[in-house]
Amino acid sequence: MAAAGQESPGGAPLRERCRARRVTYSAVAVLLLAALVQLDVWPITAYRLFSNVRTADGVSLTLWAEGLDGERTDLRPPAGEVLGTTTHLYRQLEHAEPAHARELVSAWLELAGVRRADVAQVVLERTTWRMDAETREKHETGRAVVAVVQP
Amino acid sequence: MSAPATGGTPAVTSPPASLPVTPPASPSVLPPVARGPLARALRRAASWVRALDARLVAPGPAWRARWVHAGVAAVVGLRLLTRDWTQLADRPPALRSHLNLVGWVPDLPVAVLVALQAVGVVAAVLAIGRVRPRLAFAVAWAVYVVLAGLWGSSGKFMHNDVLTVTVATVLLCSSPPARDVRADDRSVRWGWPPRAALAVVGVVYLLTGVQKLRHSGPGWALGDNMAWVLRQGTSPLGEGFTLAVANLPALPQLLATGALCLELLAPLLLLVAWTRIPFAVAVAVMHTSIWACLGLDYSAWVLTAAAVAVPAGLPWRPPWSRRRTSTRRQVRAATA
Repeated sequence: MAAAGQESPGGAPLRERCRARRVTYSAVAVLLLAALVQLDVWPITAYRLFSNVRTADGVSLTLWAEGLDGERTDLRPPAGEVLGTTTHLYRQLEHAEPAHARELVSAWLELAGVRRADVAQVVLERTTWRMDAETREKHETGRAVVAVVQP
Repeated sequence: MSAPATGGTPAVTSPPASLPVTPPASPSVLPPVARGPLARALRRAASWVRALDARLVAPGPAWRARWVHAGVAAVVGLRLLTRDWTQLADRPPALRSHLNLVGWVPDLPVAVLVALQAVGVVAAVLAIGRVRPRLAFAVAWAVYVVLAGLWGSSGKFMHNDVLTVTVATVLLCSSPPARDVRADDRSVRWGWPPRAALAVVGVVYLLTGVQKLRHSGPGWALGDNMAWVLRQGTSPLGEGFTLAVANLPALPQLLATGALCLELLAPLLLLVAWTRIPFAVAVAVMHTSIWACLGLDYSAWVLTAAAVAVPAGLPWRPPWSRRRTSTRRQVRAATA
């Protein structure tokens, strides 16, 4: 209840209308513009959710630590939305400056619990595969080294 | 007592008799009215836009604005409460992407993360309880944006919280009804925030559908796409469940077509009052099926859509809200 002399909650409708239009149309314009120019700067996004067609064929990136003894260790980080999704940064290794690449690789070695001194090199491999529709088994169709980093 | 609804279209009054009345212009001096199908379509589109604008700024009841505000605050509070934000402290600084709107926030230690979580949850509870609701909502929103932004800074764009953040941003610009505003008070001030939230939810779902058509065409729904999405996903209900759904004839196409139709029709479904609650139910079914088949958590989308669409879809004030108002009235009458 508004006290006497104060503006009632229903007052100043013109100002409220201006605010309604400014807020609503700006929000909708930002959403549409981001979708149009494919902008993804969280929380502004183009809303491309599963928008590509999936087929039986796919591509995976794997980061290997090759030990001084020749043994290979998969550096995949622990599952989860914070650490697990850092695999999306793998592709940066392909074009990263050597110092930045070493920094990234050191971080993944740390997460995997691998000592940097025991590693000869870290290799990023791209594997192409085809999935069997009945068994979901992935059959490798190609493999290529994308980047090699000396930690 | 607040003023009665004053936010409607201003009443049209006749000019005072003392003022000279300008005669209407003769037809010869009026601009020529464009004819043809394009002009008719443009005029029709313009009248639609005017009608939508008039609906946006029409007065609305305080109880609806209160419910939408409290509902979205509850979603923010729930998201803040149910996540282990201390995981952020385990991420090496080198593995954090700064290409987002919270890229300027430094990496935070566990103690600060927990303190922020506590502040955000308390603020959300205060916003729901309408204790300094605007300030409390702003604090909860700010904490949520920072923590969710940091959560999604590991290289992959995380969409799980963007709908809630966007709707909450719109509500942040509105003034929620204070405790002493009557639930059935009608005003422009209470009318537009729920409608703006509806517009945002409708446009977001529309865009998710449009992007599928833009990048993949109708084959996204009609081809084998969904079957392969299911086969390549990881279901919390076991591998057999996803495989069984994927290999059933026509079911993946039906699921994909249903999802695409729901997304593309979202603005229309949210425009009409009686389809808003069915929309919220359909969204819940769609995202639950995504969780069951792929293990992806879009619960914030479900809850946000419900927080916005359900109060906006109720044809009348819920009985418990009515009872509370009568009790307050009785208290006021007794203390007056």
